[in-house]
Amino acid sequence: MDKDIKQNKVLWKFPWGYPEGFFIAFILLIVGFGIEYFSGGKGIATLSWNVNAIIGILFINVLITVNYYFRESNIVKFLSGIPASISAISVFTFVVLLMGLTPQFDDQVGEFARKLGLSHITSSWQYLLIQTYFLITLGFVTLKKAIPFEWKNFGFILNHAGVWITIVTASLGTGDLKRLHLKLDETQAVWHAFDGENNSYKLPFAMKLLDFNIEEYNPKIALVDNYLGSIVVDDRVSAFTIEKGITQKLLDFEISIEEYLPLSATLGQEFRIFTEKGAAPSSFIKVKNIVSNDTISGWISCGNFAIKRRSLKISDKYSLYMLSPVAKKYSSEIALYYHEFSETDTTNISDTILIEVNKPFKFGGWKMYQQSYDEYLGRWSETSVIEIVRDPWLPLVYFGIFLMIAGAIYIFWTGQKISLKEDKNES
Amino acid sequence: MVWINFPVYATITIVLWAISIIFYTLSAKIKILHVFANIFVLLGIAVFITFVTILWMKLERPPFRTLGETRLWYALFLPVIGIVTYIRWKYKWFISYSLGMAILFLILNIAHPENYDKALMPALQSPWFVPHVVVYIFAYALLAASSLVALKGLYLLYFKEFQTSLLKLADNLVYIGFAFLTLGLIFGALWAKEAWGHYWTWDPKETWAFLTWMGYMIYMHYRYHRPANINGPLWTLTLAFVILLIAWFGVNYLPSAQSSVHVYSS
Repeated sequence: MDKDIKQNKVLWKFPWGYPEGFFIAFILLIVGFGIEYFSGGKGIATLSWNVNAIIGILFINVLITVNYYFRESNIVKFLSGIPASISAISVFTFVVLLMGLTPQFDDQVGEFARKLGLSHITSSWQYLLIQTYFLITLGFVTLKKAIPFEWKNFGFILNHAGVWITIVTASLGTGDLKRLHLKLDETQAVWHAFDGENNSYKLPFAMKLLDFNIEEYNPKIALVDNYLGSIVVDDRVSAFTIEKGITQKLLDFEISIEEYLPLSATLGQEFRIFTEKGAAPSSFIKVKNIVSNDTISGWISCGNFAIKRRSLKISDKYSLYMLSPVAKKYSSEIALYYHEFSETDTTNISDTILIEVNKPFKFGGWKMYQQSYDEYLGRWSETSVIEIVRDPWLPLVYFGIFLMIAGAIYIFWTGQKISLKEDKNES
Repeated sequence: MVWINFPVYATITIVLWAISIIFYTLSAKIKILHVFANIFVLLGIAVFITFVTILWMKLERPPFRTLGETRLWYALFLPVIGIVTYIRWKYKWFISYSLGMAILFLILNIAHPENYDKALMPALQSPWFVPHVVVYIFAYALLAASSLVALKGLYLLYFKEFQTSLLKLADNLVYIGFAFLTLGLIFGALWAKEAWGHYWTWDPKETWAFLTWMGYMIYMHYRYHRPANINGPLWTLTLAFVILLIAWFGVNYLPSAQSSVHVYSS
């Protein structure tokens, strides 16, 4: 049987435990929901520089000061104890659970849910209040074990301080986070970028697309059912990658790739090599029906915006189609213009930079990512969408994350070292 | 094709690791066998590193771009982490599990050579992809094991007689599993920053991964505070595992999650 009987059954008589902890957490939650609802579900405004920094510093100072002067008080003892921690963690988890079960888009939920902030939880009052309770308990617990410092608490401090720093700096930093996109083309340099709501921001630099490059995998050839109009999905292979000279069997057909032209265009019934804009891949295939011994051959092409798709009917039931090739990697060659010394300086520097998927480019506090391109034109895209991100709080977040990594390695190495002590009240 | 000698290297490695699994299992009776098992694991890793190095040089680029290449790294990292964990914690089932999974990936690569060049979306071609996934494979294995312990505990509690050592075993599995879970969460965030511009966007998969993390965190704090309780922790562990399963598979089916970057439509 569980020996969870506490000495104090009278609520609010010190020392406080789980009932008081959960009570506080739920009150904060209800108050949060209330404020959110009666303010019309607008959520909290994000704070940016320098209000967020001031709040961060104030928060740390308050925690350290209160911990220093009031460490022995009942309230601080409670907030530094496990019942407070568990109640904070549990209710915080509950709020995140609501986020996991509700689409986080205001236009996808009903009016009531939106006004309660359920569709924008991370900018809601209930989230703010419960996260603050969580950070207070976490902060006090960390300070309790950090001051005075003992090496045996080193792992504990790494983990708890790491989580605290990561959450605080990531939350405060959202106000200064800017994620903008620029749509570049080859005709003009662009000095403005846009955010998610199409607000425009003038940048200290300009970009112009010089060239968009895409490397594609060879296209695949697939067996299509003429009546269903869809690719045959079979336990056996029903599509394979085209390569000149190979022969592959699909169902009862032996398909030989006699010719493969990555860039081509039609010339009468045939395809010829063509490397200008609008070229599409094509392949000359020979198909032998193993059952009937009939052979059929012809050109196929996935086509594109300029060239019509061409397939090969190999029987009443089946045709062979070439699927559009899939991107292997893509990148943009960009001319970057900026003033060397100040915005009014007329010295204009121009650099050529390359931005590739997964290989962002750093400049002037911004990190630039290759986001997308005109998929209709595909490899002939003349536009490129670049996302630029400015995240000044990132080094602090990384510091917190680094502590967490070190803490995780520490836990891995030491494991759990609790000896089964009797029911000691640690609050 | 540069993978031409792969079947040779892979077969040698598979044989070495398969023998290791057998030796680990038998080492309960014949103790010296586990030393040989360790040696064979390390030999297999050495053979494999040789292959990866030669491949890297022949390709003239880091092998992170295709599906076949990522399976190579799984086959390498799984035993490495497995042997480190074994040397530290001596869980034989864990190293056998790691080697078994690694052998599986090697066999997959031998059996499907046409998949060597198979497309990996550009966003997945990152050095963070493999560590993120591998670490989660380990985390899930350890936490699944801890939930098996919890189920066994509940059974003993209600129908037979409970053994307190079971909870200590669960604790250890959870602590180690939680370490890997934390790393998995972090690696995912670091990868997201490189590929998508931000480290955390509360994507449904991220949200549920965070919930899983919190669930086990609650368990660890509860156990620390009330070490004598039995019923509570056992149920907490079971519930935490349900959340883990939702994070792992359920996300694909939740209506709130259809816009997630982790939901791959074919």
